[in-house]
Amino acid sequence: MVPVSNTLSPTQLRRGRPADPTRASLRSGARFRDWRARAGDVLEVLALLSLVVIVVEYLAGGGSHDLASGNAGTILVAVSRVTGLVAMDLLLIEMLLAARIPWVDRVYGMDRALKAHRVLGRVTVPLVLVHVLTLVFGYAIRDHLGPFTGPFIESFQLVTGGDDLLFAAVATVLLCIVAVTSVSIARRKLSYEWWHVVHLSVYAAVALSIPHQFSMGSDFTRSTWVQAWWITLYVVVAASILWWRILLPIRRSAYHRLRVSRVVPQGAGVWSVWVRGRHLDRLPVRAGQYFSWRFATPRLLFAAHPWSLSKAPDGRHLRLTVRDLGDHSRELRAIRAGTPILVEGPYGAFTTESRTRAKVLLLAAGIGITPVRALLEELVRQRDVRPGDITVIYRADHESQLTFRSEIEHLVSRHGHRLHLLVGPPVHGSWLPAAAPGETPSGRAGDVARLRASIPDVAEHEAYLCGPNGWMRLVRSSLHEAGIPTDHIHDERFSW
Amino acid sequence: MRRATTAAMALAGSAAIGAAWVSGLHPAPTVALGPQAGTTQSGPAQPGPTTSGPTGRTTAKGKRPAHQGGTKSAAPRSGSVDGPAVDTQYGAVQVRVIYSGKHITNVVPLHLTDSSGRSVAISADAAPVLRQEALAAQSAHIDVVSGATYTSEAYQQSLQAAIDAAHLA
Ligand SMILES: Cc1cc2nc3c(=O)[nH]c(=O)nc-3n(C[C@H](O)[C@H](O)[C@H](O)COP(=O)(O)OP(=O)(O)OC[C@H]3O[C@@H](n4cnc5c(N)ncnc54)[C@H](O)[C@@H]3O)c2cc1C
Ligand code: HEM
Ligand code: HEM
Repeated sequence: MVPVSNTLSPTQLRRGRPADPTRASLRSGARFRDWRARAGDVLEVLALLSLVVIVVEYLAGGGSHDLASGNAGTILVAVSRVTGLVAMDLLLIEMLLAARIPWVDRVYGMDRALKAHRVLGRVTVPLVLVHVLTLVFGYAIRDHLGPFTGPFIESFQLVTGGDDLLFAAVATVLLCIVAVTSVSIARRKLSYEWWHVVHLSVYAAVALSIPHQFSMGSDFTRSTWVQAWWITLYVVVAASILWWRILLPIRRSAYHRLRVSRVVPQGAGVWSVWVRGRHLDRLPVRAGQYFSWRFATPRLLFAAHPWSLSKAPDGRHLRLTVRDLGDHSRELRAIRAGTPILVEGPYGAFTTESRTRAKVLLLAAGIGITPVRALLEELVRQRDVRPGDITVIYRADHESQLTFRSEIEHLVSRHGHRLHLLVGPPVHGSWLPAAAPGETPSGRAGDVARLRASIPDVAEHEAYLCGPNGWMRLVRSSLHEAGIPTDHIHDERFSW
Repeated sequence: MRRATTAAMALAGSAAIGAAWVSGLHPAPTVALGPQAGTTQSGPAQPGPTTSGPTGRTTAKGKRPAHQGGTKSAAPRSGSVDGPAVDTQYGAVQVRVIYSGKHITNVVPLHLTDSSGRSVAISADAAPVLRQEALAAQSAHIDVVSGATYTSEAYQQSLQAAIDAAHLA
């Protein structure tokens, strides 16, 4: 197959005035991609730089001398110091990744940022343990204590020796609990709410580890510059969390005064909540994004849930559509009109902002239709696509689960776009329903063949998908195999 | 990250770390910190604690310096204490001791002999050795570094005074 590309290169795009809204939209997509690549570089370089700076300072300040000293105790303590420094820096980066900073969200999307957060968490907590263990063993050797009892005596002496190390020990224990509860197997046994409460203790943990760094850290006590550097980092991180996680959401909620306007059943176990508010045209939100919603009822106020907008924002209303996936979702069914709402967001990089291809493929499964429906509406309404250039693939186990079926049929048919409704029970290893007799059988190769058969130019599309994680994994690999480069495949994950 | 940025970052990062490694092998006298740091006390030519005693700069929530606290039970349990600046004919030597409980976790030179480029160099070589000996011995009973006798003796004295002040002995 000849890989045809209809990506408009930046040079092509810069020439002349846009002939039509589609070209204008693709052009701004290319500009956004440029910006995103640059911004991503800046963020990553800053993160790496923060590590390089502290390691350089540590080595130049005598770290390499200690590491090369040949004395076991000295070497262990030197290793402990550098792991402590690196771990602290990584903890701060992790907090920034979870702080909902708009640049991070626009460049990576919150789901990718949180994935990086999880990966870093798995490195950081062990590093803290290395910091503590090498330190205890290093001191035990220096103090000529026995190899077996020594570390215990030493730990006891350290922790009882002063408040600061007692705090640090508490911090370490909290971090371990957070890490253990966050590992996916343990998380499944814990409700989301409990896990979250436990996870919030990392704020305390990080704060508790700070005093001993200033009172005892060799690098901290050696130079005012080092102290100033770290204080700057602490302040930047604390301010980011305070502003973006707390103050900005409160300000935004107060300004827009969102309230439930009505709840509409949308089929079996699915409800739409319509939301009204002030100045909604000034809310900087795009189709495909989501908010974290808190409804002011006794049970829902203390649990913020992420739900996507199921309608492209029109400046007057917002609509979210909720599948009965648990106790809180169910509660929404009976929520009264007029109930005030607090929101955090909008978040998400699942938007058409970076689209540079004229043809669009939208894929959804189950309740994953919500943001996809909003994207479809936006593309159609703003005439960002030429007639016939959108293909929607909507997968459900049963026909009764095709939420928004008529809305989507309506949006698609008016402009000659295409809709494939794929209904049938799940097939192992395939994201499509069971193959009809005569078709290539389901499975990896079969899925790609069937995709190509129904959309011959699939490789030329910009693809957006949303659905259960396992389903999306299969779709992604099919799309990739069918010739769509990864940076033209966009997805939103509904669960972490 | 784009490839060019990654390459530039990797290159610059490893160069900086390499340079830091080399320069760290011979640490220079450190940047002074704290009010007393670096002051050269003039006094009797004879080496010995010549100042008004340890400056007793303790860290952490305003715990008082040990020597002012009087009884041992009032002694701070972790923190740092500065030894006196001890004069030698090549310049003053002053150290800070950082400790936790009875454990000396670090010794930081606040000032080292500096009467000439040569005495700066000698002290710069000797200080890390002295520090390591002190940490290993957990006391001021450490060997004199040959070729740096004056520095070593003054270092021992400043250290001993700080240890006494913090009741670490
Ligand atoms: C970006 C994003 C967009 C989403 N959009 C929609 C949507 O448009 N329509 C829709 O029906 N669902 C959507 N979801 C899923 C929805 O957030 C959860 O189904 C809902 O939070 C379940 O809460 P519960 O208390 O009813 O169920 P529970 O019984 O508490 O949980 C059911 C499942 O949801 C997960 N979950 C619970 N609370 C949260 C939370 N605050 N954040 C993340 N996961 C949670 C749990 O881990 C569990 O797997 C979206 C999720 C994400 C991450
Ligand atoms: C294995 C380890 C970890 C995993 C799997 C993990 C996972 C997550 C996830 C999924 C979230 C998003 C929850 C939400 O906002 O609703 C989150 C939030 C957060 N995580 Fe972690 N994390 C881990 C370790 C850590 C560590 C070590 C820290 C310490 C800095 C940390 C700090 C945070 C913070 C501050 C938040 C924001 C919480 C909030 O304010 O709601 N995490 N984590
Ligand atoms: C959350 C957990 C912890 C973090 C993030 C952390 C981080 C740090 C950092 C950044 C330093 C400074 C290193 C330097 O200046 O070179 C340090 C030093 C130190 N830490 Fe920790 N630490 C933690 C837990 C502990 C625990 C539990 C102990 C002991 C029981 C401990 C004992 C020490 C000691 C004694 C030093 C001084 C070492 C020296 O400079 O010689 N730390 N730590």
